[in-house]
Amino acid sequence: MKKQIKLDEIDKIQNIFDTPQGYFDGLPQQIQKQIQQPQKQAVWQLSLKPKYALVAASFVVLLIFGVKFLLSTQIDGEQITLAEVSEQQIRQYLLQDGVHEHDLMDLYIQSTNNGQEKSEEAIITDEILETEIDIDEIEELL
Amino acid sequence: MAQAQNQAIPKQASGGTLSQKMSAKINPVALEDKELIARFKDVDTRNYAFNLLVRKYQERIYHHVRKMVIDHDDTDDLTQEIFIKAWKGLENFREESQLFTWLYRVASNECITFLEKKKRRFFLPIHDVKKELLSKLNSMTSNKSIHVTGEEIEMKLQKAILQLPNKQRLVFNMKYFDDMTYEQMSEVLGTSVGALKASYHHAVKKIEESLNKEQI
Repeated sequence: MKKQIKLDEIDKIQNIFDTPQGYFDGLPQQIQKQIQQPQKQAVWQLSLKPKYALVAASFVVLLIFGVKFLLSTQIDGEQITLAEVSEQQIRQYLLQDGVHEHDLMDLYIQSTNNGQEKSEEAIITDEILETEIDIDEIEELL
Repeated sequence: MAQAQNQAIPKQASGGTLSQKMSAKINPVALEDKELIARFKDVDTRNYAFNLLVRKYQERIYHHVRKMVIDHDDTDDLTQEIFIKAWKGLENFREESQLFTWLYRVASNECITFLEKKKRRFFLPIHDVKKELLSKLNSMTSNKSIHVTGEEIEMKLQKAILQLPNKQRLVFNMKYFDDMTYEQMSEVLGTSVGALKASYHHAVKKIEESLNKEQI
């Protein structure tokens, strides 16, 4: 059996790595050259780094989702606000705003029906509108 | 008379930059670090002082990096990067630590970052950076023209060192090859002297085990 190797008992093992001939003569100039144009390179490296690309991509995705979320909550908000306005208030507003009586009548019918069958009064009004009122007369009125 | 004296001066002496003329006279190794830093902080002599600094430390830094990344081209890139960082950071260097330990710290951090990056670049666990470094070492020995010299035991030692974790490799290299004190190593790595002693002791044990295993 061979003798066990102990690092402190054998001659110091030398570094094995060598360099190309004249390498250290040219290195200071190489470094000086790089120092003279550092900024241009720094920007280029920044654009290449996948770490930064990933951060930028995540930011864009978050931005898109953020904008989408904000828009959807705004629409919901508008819908809630309209739902809160009572029909009486709407009628009042329309009257003040000079809306035609016929339109107001339609609105009234819609609001009183509200998905149910038409009332007798509404049916009669419809009949009057269909049979007794002449279109020419309406045009004159307008 | 004065005109005659001017004509007698050889043309070469009047040419060249100030730094070229001065660096021809001054041996950078002999120059004290304090003096180098003082000259660097003076805008007029900055380039010249930095040139001397590079000349003084380039070989030590190169070999420190080369032992970590093995490949000459990678070492070349990293060495240049280290000195560029030194150029940027030297103005704020407060001389609380020695210049060479500060440079070693920059170099060690660059090496660790480089190896970590290499590891992260390949997502598959199959890829092993250590294996890659080992195969580079093997290819260098089979092709003697690629800047590697060494006998069998030296090569075995390098292969054994490659089995160590990166930080332990740094510790072993600084102690064994560069003869640094634990205090200096502590400045470089920011680790306590006790922890470094333990790390080196374990590294030696692992390396001896590896060398003896190959011998059987």
